[in-house]
Amino acid sequence: MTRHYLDHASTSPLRPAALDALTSALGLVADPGRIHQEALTARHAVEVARQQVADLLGARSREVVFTSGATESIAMACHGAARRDSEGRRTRSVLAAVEHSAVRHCADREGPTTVVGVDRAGRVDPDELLTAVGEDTAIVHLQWGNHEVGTCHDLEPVIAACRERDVLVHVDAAQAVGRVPVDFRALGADLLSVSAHKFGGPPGVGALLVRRGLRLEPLLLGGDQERARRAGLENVPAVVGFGAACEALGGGVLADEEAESRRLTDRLAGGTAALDGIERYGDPDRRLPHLVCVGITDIEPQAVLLGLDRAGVAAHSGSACASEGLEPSPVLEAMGVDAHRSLRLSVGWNTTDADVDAAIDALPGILAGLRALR
Amino acid sequence: MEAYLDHAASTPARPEVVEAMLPWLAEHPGNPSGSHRLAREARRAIDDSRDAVAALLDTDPGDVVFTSGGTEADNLAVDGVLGARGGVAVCGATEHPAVLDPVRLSGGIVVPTDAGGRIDLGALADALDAIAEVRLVSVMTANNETGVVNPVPEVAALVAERAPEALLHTDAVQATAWLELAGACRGANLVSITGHKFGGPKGAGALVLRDGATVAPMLRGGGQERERRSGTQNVPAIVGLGVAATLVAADRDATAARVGALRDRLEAGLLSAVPDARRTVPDGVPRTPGIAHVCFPGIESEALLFLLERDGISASAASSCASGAQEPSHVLAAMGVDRAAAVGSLRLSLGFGTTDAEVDHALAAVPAAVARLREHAR
Repeated sequence: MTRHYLDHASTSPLRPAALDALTSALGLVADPGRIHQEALTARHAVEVARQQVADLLGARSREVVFTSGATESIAMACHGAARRDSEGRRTRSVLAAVEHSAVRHCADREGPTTVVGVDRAGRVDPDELLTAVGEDTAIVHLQWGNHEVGTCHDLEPVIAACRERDVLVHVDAAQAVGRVPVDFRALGADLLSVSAHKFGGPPGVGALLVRRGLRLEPLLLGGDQERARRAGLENVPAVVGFGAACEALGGGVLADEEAESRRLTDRLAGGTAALDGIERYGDPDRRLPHLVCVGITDIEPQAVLLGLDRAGVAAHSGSACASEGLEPSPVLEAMGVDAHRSLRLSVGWNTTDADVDAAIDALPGILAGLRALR
Repeated sequence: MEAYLDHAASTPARPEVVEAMLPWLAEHPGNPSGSHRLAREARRAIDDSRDAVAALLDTDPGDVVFTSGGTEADNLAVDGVLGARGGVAVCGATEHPAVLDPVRLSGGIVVPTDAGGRIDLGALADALDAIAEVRLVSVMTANNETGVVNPVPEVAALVAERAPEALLHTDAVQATAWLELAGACRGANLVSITGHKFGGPKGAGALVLRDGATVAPMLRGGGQERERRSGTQNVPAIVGLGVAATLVAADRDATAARVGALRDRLEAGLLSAVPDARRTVPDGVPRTPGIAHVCFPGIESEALLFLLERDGISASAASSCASGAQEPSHVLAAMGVDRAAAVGSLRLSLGFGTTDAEVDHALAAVPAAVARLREHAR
């Protein structure tokens, strides 16, 4: 049976350009920290990739710190921010309730947190967020766009106000990079987290962008890699694949993919809106282009996912980075909607109308069948 | 002629490893945390690797926590045990910086080694007796610069006797390719390994937590790896790590015998061809078969590496160029190697694919390069 993969927000398949670059770099054996020829070749490949990432994100290449993925980037941001004040007075994190669990839990590890609520569309009020910033605040976390419902936040006023008060701003852009234009310099944030596998780069690699001039204590210790900001041998093939995925989005490709993703998710939203007992979650306008989240008022999502899976459609429910466990989603809980019954459909670089058709065609029968069982 | 003799820094992934990884790169999208078929397949692949890594240490698959590599595994061992249990960490003076740095940063104790580079068990016993709050002891299985093997089971017995509340961690990153790991690490509660040191890929390693050892996680969020290490698993690299573990378990002894003979020939040849050359590790000290470590008094190793590089030889030196001046490595300093010898040290490290021809090439090139540098220095 043909598979229809509509779970790109969990992980997106490797783009062909990234696959080619990665597989050719699998032959680069050496440790880039050495001085011999093999090492210099590996070092060069890493630096080319760093420039490619920087170019996509409007950053300077030195601002790019490669990590093992967005969770590590986020942990590193939290760790460094909490130690920036040598006297230890400013350790608090202020964050929106809809942040990814990595932000919520890594922030908890480092110090006190203040969590600011959101409205029913998942939007945080910038004024409310800023009101929570006090004398002891080290950092404000505000995601670019939400991973479950796609709602985008109003970053500019938060970043501007925090800069005046010398409070760091970390933007978790794991879902935004590769989907919408991101310009780190124009944004003015201090820190920005990136994951490669969310937009067609390899798994096991990501980046933390660190604004020029900002020095933070590293999380991983024991080597001078990444300008002493992240110890550990560079994952050269993955880094090279990451760079190639970024480069593949140049020359207008990103804008084309963004428009296409929006068209496909509009179709998914339209197709599901016609069904009984379906409510669309998130901000319908200010949203990431590639995902749609709906609530199903009366049916367990696991049964719907199984039905879709049998019909060849891979989809997702809840935040559930946490494997099979279908815990209520903290994001949806914060929005005040039913946190137990959501369905997320997400598209990517190789999604076709046929994939969308498969989901739209299968859902009515699945829902009717499950309702008949009750 | 090229000779890659820097396998201890990074050794190529074996062809079977690359082959096993490719489908997971090219065909299978699947975040293992989802509930659709592709996600389930990814989860199954990871669990197969977990079985293979667990088998290396004769332990339970649930004990294996996949990480991004050895540095993260070592950091997690130190940070995670102290985070979960509090107290003080103790480690040996020749540990990799991935252990040494977090131990020092946490205010831990560094115990000296003997002239052979092995942990000084008497000094360790004294430290454990003197400080009641020790909750973690970290002693590497084999050293990354010299290959010297520590008596981890004896350390474990000592820790159990003198500091029963402490856990023992061993960094086995340099041992995995060469030693029967379950025996070499016997008694250690936490063990670090990394793929690219034994024919696996870069970007995947593991911290193995035995006997119910727990850590406070460094990376938090999605709750992967049973809440011990969050972050989407790097499925292709983890698959490769598992295949490498299976391969190394099958042919490790034969490889060790073959490479050990090459190493011995290399070392003996260098010692006889270069006047005043000496082996860094004293006779009789157990070490892994992959590393030839030699000191050439009267030269600086950076200059030697430069000449060798021109001859197509990739090697490394156990010294770093801090602030322009050559500083002997902390490992050689801990062993009491005198400074004049240490600044002229050379590490040639061999691996699974090392050939007779590469050794021959090094045997021709290294003595000539040393002679040239000494000539130049006069």
